[in-house]
Amino acid sequence: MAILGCGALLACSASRAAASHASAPSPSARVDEGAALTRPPTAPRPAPQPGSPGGPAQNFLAAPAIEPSEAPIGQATRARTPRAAPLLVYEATLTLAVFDQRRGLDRVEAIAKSRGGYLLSRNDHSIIVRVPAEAFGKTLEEIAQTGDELSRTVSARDVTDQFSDLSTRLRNAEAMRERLAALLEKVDAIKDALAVEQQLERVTLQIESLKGQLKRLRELISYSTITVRYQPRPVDPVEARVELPFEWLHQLGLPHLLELRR
Amino acid sequence: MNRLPSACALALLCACGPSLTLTTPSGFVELTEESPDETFDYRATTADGLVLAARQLEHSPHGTLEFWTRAVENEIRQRGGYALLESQPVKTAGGLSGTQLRFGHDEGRKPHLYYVTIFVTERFLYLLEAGGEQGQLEQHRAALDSAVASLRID
Repeated sequence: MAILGCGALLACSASRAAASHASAPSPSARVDEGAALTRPPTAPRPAPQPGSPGGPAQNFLAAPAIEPSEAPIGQATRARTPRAAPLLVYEATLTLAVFDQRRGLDRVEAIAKSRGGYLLSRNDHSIIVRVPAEAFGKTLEEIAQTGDELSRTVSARDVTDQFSDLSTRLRNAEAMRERLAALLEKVDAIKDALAVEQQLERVTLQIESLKGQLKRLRELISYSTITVRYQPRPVDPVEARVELPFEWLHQLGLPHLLELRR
Repeated sequence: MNRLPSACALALLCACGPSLTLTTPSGFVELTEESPDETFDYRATTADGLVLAARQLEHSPHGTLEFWTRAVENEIRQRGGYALLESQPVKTAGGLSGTQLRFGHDEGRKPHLYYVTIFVTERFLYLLEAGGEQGQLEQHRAALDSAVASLRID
């Protein structure tokens, strides 16, 4: 009986959540909402900078500046702008030919850090850095100057819908949690309380997961990824092996030493 | 017989040059026949094929002990299959300072050791090489160290 009562209460909560979801804004409004969510409340939008000529990097500044820290999503849901730019994740891959790979790697790392970015990974032949989205174009151009550019790929992934969808799901989950918490105050039977707590725990986990996904998405939007690969020029290869002109050096080694019948 | 240290006066590279003398270590026999390619001025072996050899080279062009040590190290390491295990200073009983490079080498499934000791004088370079299976060389290490220390230049 108590379980049935609890089930009814939960069903009521679920229907309210569904109603809330059904009243979610239209796709176009959701875009606006997502953009409003990600815009820093006080910081002005950075002035547009010229991107690389002819490449998609030209438009990267159309994306709103995103704060990597947690934004007060619930408070921002009502903020709307007439028309907002899409949320874009920028990635670029450069292939460069350089004389000194190590120096080139050092320079790329230094450029990224000087523009507020950071090193993501590095090995002997390539490096991946992340730079603030607003510095993407200029950083890319500066890095391209460090070697002889062999190829360039720039891509922009539109994550507006993804961001908006995650935000809506988070709001709904938070509303559900509030209702469950209120419900928990009202139930008397232990069985009912346990059932509500179980649901509360599930929704809390879901909220944490959604927050994590949103945080990662914000990070991807805020910081663009630049991968630089180095390719040695296939001309005039120099023998790396040291060959000193002393014949006796070439007679060293175990095979020569151990050949007693020689 | 073999245990008697046999002082081996080696053939000179030039008539007026000094000769090197080495005490054949215990467990080794000296190979008296000159190697056909005249690489070595002295060779000795155990019955199991552990070899000690020495050669005297004209010191031209001139270089420091560090230079020749580095040259040998580069040559062996670049050849592939060798790993430098240790580099340590050595000294003969007569007070001549040198450097010994100890390399490891996997020959098939058997690990081998290869030691190269370099001494430098004004007129000559002296290279002492010892090599063989790891277990055998380690077994004779003390005798080999004594042989290196016994190097004498007359």
